[in-house]
Amino acid sequence: MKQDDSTFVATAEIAPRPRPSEPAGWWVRTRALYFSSPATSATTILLSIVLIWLCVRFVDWGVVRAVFSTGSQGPDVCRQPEAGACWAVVAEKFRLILFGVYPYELHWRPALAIAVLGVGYLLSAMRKLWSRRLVGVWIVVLVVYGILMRGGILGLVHVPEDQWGGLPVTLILATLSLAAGFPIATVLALLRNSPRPSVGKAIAVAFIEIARSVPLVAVLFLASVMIPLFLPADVSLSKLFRVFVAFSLFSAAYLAEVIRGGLQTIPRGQYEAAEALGLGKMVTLLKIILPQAYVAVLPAIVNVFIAFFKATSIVVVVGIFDVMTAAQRAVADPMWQGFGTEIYLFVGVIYFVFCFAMSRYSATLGQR
Amino acid sequence: MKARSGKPVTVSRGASRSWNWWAVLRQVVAFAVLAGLVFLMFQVTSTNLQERGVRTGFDFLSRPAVTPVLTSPLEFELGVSTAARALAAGALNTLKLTAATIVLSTLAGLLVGLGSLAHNPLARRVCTVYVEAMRNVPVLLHIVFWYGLVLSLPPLSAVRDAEFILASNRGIFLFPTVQGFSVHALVSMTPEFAALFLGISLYTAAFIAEIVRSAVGSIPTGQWEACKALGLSRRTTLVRVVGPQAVRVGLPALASEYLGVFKNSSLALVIGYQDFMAVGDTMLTDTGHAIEIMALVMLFYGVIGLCMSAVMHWFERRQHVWSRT
Repeated sequence: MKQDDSTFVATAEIAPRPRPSEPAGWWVRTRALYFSSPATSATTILLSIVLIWLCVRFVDWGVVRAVFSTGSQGPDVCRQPEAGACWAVVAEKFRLILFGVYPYELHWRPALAIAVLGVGYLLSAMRKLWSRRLVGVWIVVLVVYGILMRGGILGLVHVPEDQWGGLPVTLILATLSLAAGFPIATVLALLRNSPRPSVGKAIAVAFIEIARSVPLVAVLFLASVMIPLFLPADVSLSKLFRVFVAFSLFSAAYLAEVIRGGLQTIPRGQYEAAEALGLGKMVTLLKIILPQAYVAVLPAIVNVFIAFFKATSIVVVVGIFDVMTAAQRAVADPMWQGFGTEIYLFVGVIYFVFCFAMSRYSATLGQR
Repeated sequence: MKARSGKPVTVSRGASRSWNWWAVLRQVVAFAVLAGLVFLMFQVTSTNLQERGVRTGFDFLSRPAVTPVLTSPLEFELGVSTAARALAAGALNTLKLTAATIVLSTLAGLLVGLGSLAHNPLARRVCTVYVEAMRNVPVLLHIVFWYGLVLSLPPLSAVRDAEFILASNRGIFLFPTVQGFSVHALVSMTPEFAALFLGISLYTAAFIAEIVRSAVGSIPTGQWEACKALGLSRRTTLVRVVGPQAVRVGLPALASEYLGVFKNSSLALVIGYQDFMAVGDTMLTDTGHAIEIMALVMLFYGVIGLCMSAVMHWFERRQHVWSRT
């Protein structure tokens, strides 16, 4: 018996086997990823050819044959038949695109105003700074922005609103109209979400549905053509302000639907628990329901922000001097006609930087 | 069924009955305030109009239009055709642009969306770059960019011998035959139409690609694994099993993208393609009937937009019935 048992038990330690050999070398790994089947191989080869062709064409146009500076010869250098991209036009026009028709020698003021807004955005993006103090920060930011742009005090030369332009206008329009749209959106969402029918609910539903089904262009026209007709003759509002009102109301309709989605994620138990604790309706709403609803749909809210940041470009149709209008003005310059592609690529990069930053940020919010 | 858990519910009947009168009173007051505001606005507007000497009424619609609509499926004769006909021509242009854009953006979006789900890392990378580059730039910039490109194409005389596609600064033509200064083609696009068509399509395609990707991604991996266990190919799995389920998930978002295409088509105004918005804008300058024309514009976009979202809701409900059977 004892002898039989021992046949199943190893008497000596068995050395561990070497691990199975990994598909060695970069070629084997590449083949597994890019050439695993005939279809995959075909895709890889086709895409590579197209990409290489595009890259070569772009580098040839945008770097090799490009004109980065015309020296003192003016735009004619770019019109040579062998010339590629004319980046000199961007060098010539970037101050017009960024700052519009703001007095040239005062351009440091809008530049500083953009920087101040940028600091505001960065501080608001940090989660650990989310408190009531942020409101104070934004009041400071906006006051500094106003002083820098408008001037008239602290020894700064006064610059009237109709000379503002470019990026500061795009940014302030997006910032202020979304800031004003947010509380309106919250009220609309709460009205629409209320269980009982009421006049307020009917107005909220009608407003949200109509605003979401008409194009922004039409709303901007309505604001610039119709608001003066609706108001008494002695009240006159600046064009920028009218567009700001239109933008706030329009963005409120979109934000309201997002916030309503957030309200619907709050379980009924939250309301009941608050009621059981004897909390009033307003306290329940402000301290319990809304904070949770906002956080639940934060990525979607940022997406609406991105959409409206891009949509500010549509103010072109009513003649507000934002980045897009400035770009169109730069393209229309008869001296530099025919270089729209370069200017639009530059403007595209400006919008891309802001929107891409926001969308990356929105993605990190979603991961939490 | 939509989750209704978020709505506060009045706890007991007795409690709600005791302050019911207050609620009714509040509603009456709210209605009175609303009616008062509307009345006030109407009053102010009509005084403003009287002061400016503007005549109101829709009779301008039956008078000949001042500015012609040049490219439209409707025949248009300057000095004879009415303003109403001009608006109808503009409306047809809007619908034509919307329909063409929806088709191209769906095809491109499907291609990019499926590409971003491919095994091939190169294809995935290319699709991601496309989506990020396109969607983070305003659609208006896409449109003016393409408009500039189309206008910088060679003149018609330089490319007249093209066989399949003739791309000139006078427009883009498929299967063209050139006779003198005019081109007859199976499909012809003016530079304005081409710029809007390409710009809005390529922009919207990025969003549709994301919808496709997230809809397919929302289907549990168990579905893929089960199909693999059954011996179905990846392609069959996608077309027969995962695809139909993903369509149901992605359809509402897709429909709202289509509504977005319809609304974005009004940007035609910026580059001067005569869609409904642009025709309305010109007519506003020509006749000065601001209120009537803005009302017509809001009505046109509002009614079609609301119809599109109504169809979308109806389809969603129908899908719901299917998914339960």
